[in-house]
Amino acid sequence: MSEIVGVTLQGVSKTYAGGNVAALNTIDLEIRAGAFFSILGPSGCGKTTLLRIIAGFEYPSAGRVFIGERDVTALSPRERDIAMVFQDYALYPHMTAAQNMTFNLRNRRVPKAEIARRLAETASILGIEPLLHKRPALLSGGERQRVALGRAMIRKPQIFLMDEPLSNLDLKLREQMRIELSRLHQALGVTVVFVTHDQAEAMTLSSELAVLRGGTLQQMGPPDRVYARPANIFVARFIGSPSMNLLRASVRGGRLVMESEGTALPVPADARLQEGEALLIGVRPHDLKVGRKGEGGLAVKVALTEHLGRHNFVVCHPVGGTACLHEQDAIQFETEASVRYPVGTELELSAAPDALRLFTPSGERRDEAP
Amino acid sequence: MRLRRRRATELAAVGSGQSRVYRGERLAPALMLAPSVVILLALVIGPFVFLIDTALHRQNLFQTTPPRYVGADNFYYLFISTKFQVALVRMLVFAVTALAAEFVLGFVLAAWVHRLRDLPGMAIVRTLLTTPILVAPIVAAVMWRFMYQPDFGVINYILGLVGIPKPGWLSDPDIALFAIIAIDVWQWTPFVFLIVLAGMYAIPRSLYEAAKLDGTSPWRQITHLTIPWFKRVLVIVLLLRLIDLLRAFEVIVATTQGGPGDASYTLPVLVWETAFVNFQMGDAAAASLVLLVIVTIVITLLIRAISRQGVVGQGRR
Ligand SMILES: Nc1ncnc2c1ncn2[C@@H]1O[C@H](COP(=O)(O)OP(=O)(O)OP(=O)(O)O)[C@@H](O)[C@H]1O
Ligand SMILES: [Mg+2]
Repeated sequence: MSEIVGVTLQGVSKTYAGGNVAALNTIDLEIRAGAFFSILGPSGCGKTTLLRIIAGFEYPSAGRVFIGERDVTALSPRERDIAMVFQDYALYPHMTAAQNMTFNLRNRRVPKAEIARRLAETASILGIEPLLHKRPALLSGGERQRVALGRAMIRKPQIFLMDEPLSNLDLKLREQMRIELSRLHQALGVTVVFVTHDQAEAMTLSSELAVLRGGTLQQMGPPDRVYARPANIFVARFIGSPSMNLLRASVRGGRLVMESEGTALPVPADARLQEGEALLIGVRPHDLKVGRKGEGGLAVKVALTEHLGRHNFVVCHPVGGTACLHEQDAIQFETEASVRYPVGTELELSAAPDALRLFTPSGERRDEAP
Repeated sequence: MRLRRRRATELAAVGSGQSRVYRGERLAPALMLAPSVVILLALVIGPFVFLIDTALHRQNLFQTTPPRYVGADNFYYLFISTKFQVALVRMLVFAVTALAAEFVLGFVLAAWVHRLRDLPGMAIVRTLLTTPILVAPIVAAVMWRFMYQPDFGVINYILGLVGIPKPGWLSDPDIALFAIIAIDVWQWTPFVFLIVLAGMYAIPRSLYEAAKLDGTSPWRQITHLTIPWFKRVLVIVLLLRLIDLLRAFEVIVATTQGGPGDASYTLPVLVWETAFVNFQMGDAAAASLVLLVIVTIVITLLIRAISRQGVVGQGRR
């Protein structure tokens, strides 16, 4: 097996011929050897472009790409020792699963016995022995997915690239394949670069992730860190479901006071805030608690309850109007499934000081030193 | 009014489960179809019957004697004539050579244009490459006859500049047939090119990219990916071209009329000459029936061979 290496991008930009905006904007990434690295972002943010640059299907307009220590910026895909699982799997339709998986080895004239040995090995890891003689047309989505994985695995490449490999599967299968991918990654110990627009997928699978928006890197780090300390309100709202609530407030008399509302929240102890400073407060739905009336908190009226089994999500509107909300028109919070609030109930919400994330009005993280 | 009432009773009968429909009612659909069937028979079967009938008679349009029934004589004399045997061979040489050239060239051109598809100006190249199809065959033939002209034709002019001996393209018996094949290749390669190119565009880009990652050489890409992908389309193009090539005659008649000697004398030319130069309608009809049978046999055999391979009707995805 080839030695496991990482990928480094240095100042990679990409402007497509004919495109007037940059698909990627000076991206610096450090993907460690053996990492399960997710590239996460909304549609059109440049995830696929980034992956294709790593693969060598596109050349960067500026910047360099390294695989391990090797500068591969000018190398063709063939010379990079990578394998890719395509979003549509890209299985050769006229070949059986076995032929699909071994095509690369046959191209490189690997001895027949060796091919047979590796095929058997890969097929047994993936549990697809019974499918080997079938053509892709006769396979289900999940089975095709496995064959595509097998085709990538059999070569024992240095890097695995995957472009939304699970997005064509139904929910149940997707969860199952998630577990499988995780298991495979651990078993093989290879470096995986995984593109997805599904934050839950990225959160559960990756050891590290990067969030992209409009071709610009927003944040990079382990999922729990990105979740806990989002770099800006875009990351804050993109990661976590349902999204973080964002409230407008300003500092008055050492307390955070809502716009238009007059309700106040306790200030986080470690934040050095200036009197009169305007802020955005981010608070996750599960951090909002229903306080007792008159204790001071955000007064809201229940509009809707979503039952999700173990939890309920309660959607409510601020009594004092929506001026205190930032780019959203309702507040969501989480309760136990047994707790039910009839529509129209008036509640007061509060949160522990350390559950609050502070951002500047322009959306950058504030609770670092000013 | 009466019609409407009858229709109403019929509907009522159907509705109540009774099936007492008048015979006239049952005949109505057949009667309505009858005119089209008659026209169809007259247009398709009619000429065919007439052709067979003609083939069984001796008839020369220059003589006033009425057609005389001769049974299979016309076929007999056709089969034993050396002209027929020569024509058969020439026809096959013409068809097979042109077919091979058109396929190889069409494929290479399509692969080339497809590979360079992202370069600017490729759309213009594509259009230019397809224009020969738009030229009427007879115009193409006349045009090429001028270009082939030994003394002032453009081809020999260029050869003269380079200092290569100038052949008499259409007058040299060793060259004539191939010079005509070149015209057909010029005109119909674009057809193959266009369809193959369309097939290549239909292949998802990711398949080629997967092949690239799999370290597939450009040649193996064609043999292991492109060709299997649209085998069926290729087969249909092959059939269409073959039928056309076996029947080709305007281009020959407009250039050499089968000559020099019998160098380009194919079966369709034989039919044309017998009918419209010698006016022996019986012999011409017999020859054209033989041509029809040959084309039919070739096509049937090909389709058989292909469907046995499982190309026809095989799901692609
Ligand atoms: N071949 C191309 N030519 C021109 N522009 C392109 C090309 N491919 C992508 N783009 C543009 O680059 C930007 C990024 O596209 P990309 O495919 O990388 O997005 P993505 O994050 O993968 O989106 P999705 O989640 O929808 O797949 C988009 O604005 C897109 O329109
Ligand atoms: Mg994409």
